[in-house]
Amino acid sequence: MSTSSPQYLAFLAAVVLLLPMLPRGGPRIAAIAIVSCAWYAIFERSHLAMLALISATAWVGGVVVERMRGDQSKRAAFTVALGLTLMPLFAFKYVVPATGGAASGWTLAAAALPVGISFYSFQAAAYLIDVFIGVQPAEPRFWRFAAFMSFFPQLTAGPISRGRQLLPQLPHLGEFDAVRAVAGARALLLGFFMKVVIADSIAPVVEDVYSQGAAASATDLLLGTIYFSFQVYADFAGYSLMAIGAGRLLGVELPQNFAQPYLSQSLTEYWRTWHMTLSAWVRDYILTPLQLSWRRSGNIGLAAAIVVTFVVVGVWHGGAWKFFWFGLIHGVLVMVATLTARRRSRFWLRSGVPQHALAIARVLGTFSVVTLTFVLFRSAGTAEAVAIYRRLMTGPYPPSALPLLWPGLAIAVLITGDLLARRNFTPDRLPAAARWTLYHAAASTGLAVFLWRYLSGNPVANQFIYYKF
Amino acid sequence: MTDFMTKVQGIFREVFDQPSLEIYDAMQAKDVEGWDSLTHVTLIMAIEEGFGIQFSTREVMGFQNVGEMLASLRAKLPN
Repeated sequence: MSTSSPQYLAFLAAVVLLLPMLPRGGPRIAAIAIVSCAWYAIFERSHLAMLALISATAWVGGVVVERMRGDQSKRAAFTVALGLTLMPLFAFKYVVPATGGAASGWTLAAAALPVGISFYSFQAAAYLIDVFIGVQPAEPRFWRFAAFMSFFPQLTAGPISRGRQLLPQLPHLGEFDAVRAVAGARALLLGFFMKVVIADSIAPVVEDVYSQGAAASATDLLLGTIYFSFQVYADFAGYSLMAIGAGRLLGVELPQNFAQPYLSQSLTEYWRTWHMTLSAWVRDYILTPLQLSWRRSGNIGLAAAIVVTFVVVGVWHGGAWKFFWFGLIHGVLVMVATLTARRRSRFWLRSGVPQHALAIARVLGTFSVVTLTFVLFRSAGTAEAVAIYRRLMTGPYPPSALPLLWPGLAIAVLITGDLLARRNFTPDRLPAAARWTLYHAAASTGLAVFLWRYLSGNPVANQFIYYKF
Repeated sequence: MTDFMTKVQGIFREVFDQPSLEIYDAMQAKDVEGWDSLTHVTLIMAIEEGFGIQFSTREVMGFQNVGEMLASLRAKLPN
């Protein structure tokens, strides 16, 4: 069930209004765990047990790891707990698709990837690692841990919270704070707008192009791929903002997940600002340990750590080869960029090219690289992606019949919003009349689009792209 | 300032290329310009070399601030 659907918004409103009626602390925390599981059960009934199992494993694991005194027994308990916690994710992502699911005798519904499993598995894994290295006390109360794992605003696609951030906030669930509530409503509205008005209206154009694969014209493929870059950004950043907004309305601050990634001046900056909670997770739990383990190998160790990390990120998206290539290309590019960063900045400083021109060229260059690799992401497989790359390189580029005005406008709104955000603009700076005009415009555009889709027989709310990861 | 602290501070100043950097226990990566995942590894290696000790990966991952790093370092030094 999409969080931009009317059903979700009604559910969220009900929880926000009813939660403060319960006594503070324990009862509210237990209630959030229960309604989160109920929400998950509505669309993932066959996998509710999986969420419960992973949560229970991580909870028991955390308590046991903390209690172990000897270094060796602690390490053994940690290894077992982490392995058990990540096993379902591994099985659903790689084993079930490889065997077609049929070998295990599962029904089709049960063999499908459980929605959100990556996100709650990563959250559980981070918690266990933090307990093991001693920066996170184990949570002794199961209900509190269950609420942390299943917290519905972020359950299906993040942001991935750390135990240190979310667990201590849970006792404040349902506490009203006017400033936070306003910020929450604003994030919810902006996220809703990004998803419903921007992402969902570009989506059919992208689908039109990519359903033809390499048979589409080079112009259409180029335009369609650029559209897809903005679609996936508005989709995922919109979802993340809706999660953050819902969290604030419930009294909890979730971590930021996007910081204007398409304004990045380098690929490393892009990866710091795109899906930030996953990037931080990967940095802390994959890149850093690899870098530390291989630190005596100098630049070779560093290069290997970066490439391996990105390949893991690529393959996390799925077992298909196209994701491996996606990760490898980004890994090699980031590795080269990291190793040559100093030399390049010295070169450009001496070159005398004006800083502004350089910044614009860097932003465009970074965006181009990211967009080109999205071909792998969006295409049906590696073979099709290669055919599309070939078509893009050889042309010809005939005039395109794709719509330009509507997607162009949506993209312009998105970029303007990002440029304003970089200048720390918030609607607070506007006079009240202008501010409220903006809110009303965003909300009514969203509702109009809803209504128009409903009347024309299209699905009112499309699924988010990242649900399937 | 003790010899120990002077030596550690000297390593920090060299790694981050800031000759007037003053370290303190609660200091974290976000408090120092240029302290990212790359310079972090450089810093760890510089300290290991400077004091002739070794940290384990798990120890390094557990450091939440400079104070914790120093405590771990002190525990490894002969009295």
